[in-house]
Amino acid sequence: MHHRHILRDVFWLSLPVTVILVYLIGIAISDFHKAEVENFHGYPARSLRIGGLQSMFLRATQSLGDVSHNRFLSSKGRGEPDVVPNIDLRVKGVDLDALDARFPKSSKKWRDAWMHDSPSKRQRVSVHYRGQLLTNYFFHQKSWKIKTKKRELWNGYRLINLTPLSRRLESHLSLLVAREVGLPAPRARVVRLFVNMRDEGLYLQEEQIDESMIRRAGRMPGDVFYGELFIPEEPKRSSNELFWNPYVWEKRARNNRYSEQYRPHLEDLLDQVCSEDPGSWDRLYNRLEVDEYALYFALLSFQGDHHVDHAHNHKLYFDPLLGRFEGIVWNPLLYLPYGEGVETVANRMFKKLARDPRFLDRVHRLMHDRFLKSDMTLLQLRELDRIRSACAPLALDPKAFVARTRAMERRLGQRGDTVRNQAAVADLHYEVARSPSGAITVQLHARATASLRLRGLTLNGPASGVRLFEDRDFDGVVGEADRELKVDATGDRLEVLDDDALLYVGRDFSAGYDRPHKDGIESYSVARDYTRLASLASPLLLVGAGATAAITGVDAERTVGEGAVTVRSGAPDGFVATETVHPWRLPAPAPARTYRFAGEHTLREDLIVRPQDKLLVEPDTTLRLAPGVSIVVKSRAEIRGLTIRRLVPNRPWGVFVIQGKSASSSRLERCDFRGGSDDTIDHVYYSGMLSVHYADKVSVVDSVFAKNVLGDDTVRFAKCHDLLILRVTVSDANGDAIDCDISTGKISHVRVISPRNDGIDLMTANVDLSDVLIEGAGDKGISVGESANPLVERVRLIRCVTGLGIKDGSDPLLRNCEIKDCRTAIASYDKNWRYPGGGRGRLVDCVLSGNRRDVELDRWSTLVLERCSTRRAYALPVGLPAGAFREIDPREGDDQ
Amino acid sequence: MGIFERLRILLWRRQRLFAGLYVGLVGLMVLGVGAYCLLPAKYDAALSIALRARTYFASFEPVEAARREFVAGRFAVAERRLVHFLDEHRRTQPAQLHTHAVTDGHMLLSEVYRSQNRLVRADRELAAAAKRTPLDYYIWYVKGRDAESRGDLAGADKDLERAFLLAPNHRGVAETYLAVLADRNASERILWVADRYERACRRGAPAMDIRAGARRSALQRWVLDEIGIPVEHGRYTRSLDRYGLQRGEGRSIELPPALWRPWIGGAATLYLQLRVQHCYDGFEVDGFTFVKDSGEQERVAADGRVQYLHRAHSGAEFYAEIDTGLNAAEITAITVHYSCPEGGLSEDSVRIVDKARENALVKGGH
Repeated sequence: MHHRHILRDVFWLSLPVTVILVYLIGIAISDFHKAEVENFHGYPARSLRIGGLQSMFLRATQSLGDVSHNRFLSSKGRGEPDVVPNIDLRVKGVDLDALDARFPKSSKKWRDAWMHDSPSKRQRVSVHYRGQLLTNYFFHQKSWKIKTKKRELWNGYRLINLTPLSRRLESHLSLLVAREVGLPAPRARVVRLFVNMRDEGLYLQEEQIDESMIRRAGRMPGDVFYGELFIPEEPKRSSNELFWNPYVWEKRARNNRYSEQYRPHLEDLLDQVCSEDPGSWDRLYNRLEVDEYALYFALLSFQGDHHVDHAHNHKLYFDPLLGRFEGIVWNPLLYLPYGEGVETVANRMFKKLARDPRFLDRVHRLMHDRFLKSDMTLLQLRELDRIRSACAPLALDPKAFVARTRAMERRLGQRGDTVRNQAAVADLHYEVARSPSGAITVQLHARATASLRLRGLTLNGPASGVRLFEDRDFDGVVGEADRELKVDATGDRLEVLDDDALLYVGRDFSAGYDRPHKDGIESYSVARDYTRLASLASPLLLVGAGATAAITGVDAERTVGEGAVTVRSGAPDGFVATETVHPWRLPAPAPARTYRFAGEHTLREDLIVRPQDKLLVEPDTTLRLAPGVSIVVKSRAEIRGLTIRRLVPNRPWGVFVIQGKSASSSRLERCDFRGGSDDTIDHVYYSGMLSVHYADKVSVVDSVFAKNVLGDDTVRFAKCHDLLILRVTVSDANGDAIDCDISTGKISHVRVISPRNDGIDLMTANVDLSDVLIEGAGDKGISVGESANPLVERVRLIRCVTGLGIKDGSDPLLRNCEIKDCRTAIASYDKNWRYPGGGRGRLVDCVLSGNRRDVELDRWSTLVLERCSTRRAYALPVGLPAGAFREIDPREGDDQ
Repeated sequence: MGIFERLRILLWRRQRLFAGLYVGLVGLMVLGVGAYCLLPAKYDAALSIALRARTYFASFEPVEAARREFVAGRFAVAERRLVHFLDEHRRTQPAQLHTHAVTDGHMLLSEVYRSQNRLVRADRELAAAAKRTPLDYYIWYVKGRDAESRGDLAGADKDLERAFLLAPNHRGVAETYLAVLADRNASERILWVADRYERACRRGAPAMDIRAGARRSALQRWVLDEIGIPVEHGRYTRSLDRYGLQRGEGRSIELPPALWRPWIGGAATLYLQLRVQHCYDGFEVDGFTFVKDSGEQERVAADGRVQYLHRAHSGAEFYAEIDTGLNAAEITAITVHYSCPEGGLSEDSVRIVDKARENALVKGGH
């Protein structure tokens, strides 16, 4: 009996332990099976990314032992909102359960929730877990995506992306640097998240990369391509490589002129990336906004990133005005804190670019000027310090958080040292040999981050009569392709006078990065590649009476940074460039051309005037353009007296374009363009018969533009600053007469007659108007939209459908204007949700007469009329907030 | 005395035995969990692979069983098995353990239906497979061919376009699509496809990842031997040529020693991993040449020692694990010999393109 009691006691006492163990093991097994899987190398490996079975087991225990993390809003209070903003989210329990029900599908469905800004203010939102990796939604601390309603943005955001800060610290720092150097990058900040009053800890709020972000970054809305092939909802079985098939890229924002499937521009880019043709580098630079891209590449190299690789984290924006791609910074990580890695070549595009020393020169010049000089490492360390002091007490596990920031500090410091050490390297080795032709060949092996400049040679004897050539065809013989350097011989010294006698540097691409054990990565690792500093040989030829095989010294200097160049004779030690393409092997730049026009000319093909070319037009020249033929001028043009007409009646010519920084300060005077249309050239759509893109200080004076067809605009300025349109007449425009997008400048003494659409359309443009007459516009006389704030003076709008349209946060000031005989004189409304707040505006000393309706507002807009004469025919919505429409010292209208 | 009463008394009499078993089991569980928590992470990862691999390959068992029935001509049995399997896993999501097995199940079931001339059902199964893995070109390819054989040219056009966009350098897809477009008299699309195919062939040269390494840990060896799954053996070198090889017959590429020598330590069997991408039409590894310290060359044929681990229809990549049987420490040079047919359209397809070009010229002329 006694034994029986003992056994019974053992049973009852151990039963709770057994139940807990069975529960834990059951949950771990179930999670292990539920966890997302990817067929990686033929076996399912996704679960390994979060640490295998142990992570599953930890997750199972979390729900039981996670009491310490359950801090609640009421007990702990909110954080200091100035330091760390709070996001207070309320989600129903059933919705939380539904999100967790069946990973990953269930976690991606939008659920209703409330977001509290303050105890009295809350707004309805939708939420789901975000992220493509299990880590984002599987564990206790979820990553969230919050979406507001279109007209209820939260601090200007519609999509709020939240990821636990501990996982995004590197990304936060990199984005900070990106914004600091002026790269297009999403905004990010640290916030504290509460879900149903429970403290979820510190999160990083990142801006969504979409049209809103593109507009905020001052770019024209255009295609944004996401290169992301790690999407568990869509297991990829066709490829995990981004840079060969444009159709594996996803279009997240698009130029609404084209369909989702339209991507010849991306195909063109990838063609060049994959091509081995020597001309493909220049064609690639023509497809990339190369300065911006070099800055982007410099950022990734500075941070020691490898995360932007062949399969994911690539975001490309296509600028529709230039026809070029830019990189958008997304989630770079510090992979190379120490060692010899210089640049990342984790994908084909980077590898292609890093093979060209000319591109490396650009990158390292930017690296020196923008990152090392301004000490971006220090900026990041300061931010880490700030986060630690302000946020550590608010972290769920302050000790672990501080340890994480310390570790990050060390990595940052190490990478900073590595970059500085690499920048300090500047070696030059020289070898001398006599070629069969009798010339002396000097092989100069340069090794540095950026090219060196040759300054001179010291010979073992008198240097007079010696000529120095760059052996550009690498044949050891002076030939046509070889360039002679200007030299000054003094004694035994041969001084090189050319400033462009560059000794290019190369890279070794044969390195592989094996993540060491201390990085915490186990058997799962993918091939990552980086470059190492390596010597690249540039051969010189010495010919002439005094050329001897004995050279006693070479002088060279850096093109980037300070410090002496170490010169040694003999073969180079260390790495030798493996796949670098010597720029001498690439096609030489095309020579500049001059196009001269005088009298009458006929053009039957498009004329492209490149930045190095020159366009000369004699006064009173007439050009007759064949159907569809366009002129694109990318260099500065001074045109006085040009008439353009159709060659074939009833068949319009294309467009006249002034484009690019190199065309800035161009001037068109006494021009008369008629019968043009629109055109697409080199992936850029030109909507205006006269289109000006990205050229500042362009003036159009004393000119006439009329009777265009097909295109949306007659005259279009996009991304132009200090534009001037003076004494210009635009008549019978097919769409808008004058369209200014994201520009500044002045339009004065202009007449617009009978445009089919708007007279003057301003989008995010601060272009001031004065002494303008617009008659018979088919839509709005003046359309002011998307945060445009112009000053409008002495403008007459007559017989327009709508005299003045004010939209989307625009705030024009009109003085001494007259709006007459329009169907609606002023319409102010909210059209584009990305610019919240409807239209605003102020009219001073204006006359509104003969209009069917003087003012029409929606409930989001405001308007002030000061000393204006009106008939008071107003259409104001019910529920318009008090003070939204005000009349100050009104004057009686003539007809009242 | 009822049976339950008898059982209760039996349990009561044997309670000591059961209690002992119970306590032993609980003790083992506690010990197991405790020991597992102390397991170093790298063994845990290897264990995860092993378990995953077992369960992953086991997930294909029902489909394989049905395939055997299908091959033996027992269509009804194969259909019943597959319908049951698919019904059981109808809630499987696109990235879960059974996803690939379920996709294969749909594909096989569509084959079963097609062999019985039940074409509508066959198409429905393919649609289900495509819905589950929409980025697998092969499913769209099969679906498009099916639609073409049924005479549904519009449907074939749509499906083949999807397949072509995902695998633009696949000769079979391009030619089938061109034939469908020719039947539809879509000259402009024919020229578009021909242009895309030509450019994609240039961009999508076969890319090969070659890694060399020596197998090391006992657990990894166990995983390899028991499961036949390529756990990365020790530390493989990085890729030799990730971004494209030349097409052609009898080509070879050398694996530079600097890439792999530093990673191979003492005496151990040399393993190679090969991964080929972007080549959908007949990449073959012919063999390897190994040069030893002594200068002796050894040619190893690919067959026999190469384990191909790609799903038969994925086509996207193939992955192979090669047990060279050679001592890694002795090897000084490795060369891989391979063959890959040149891209290019067949004569019939070229004729279709030429005709489309003529049509376009005529239209332009008018």
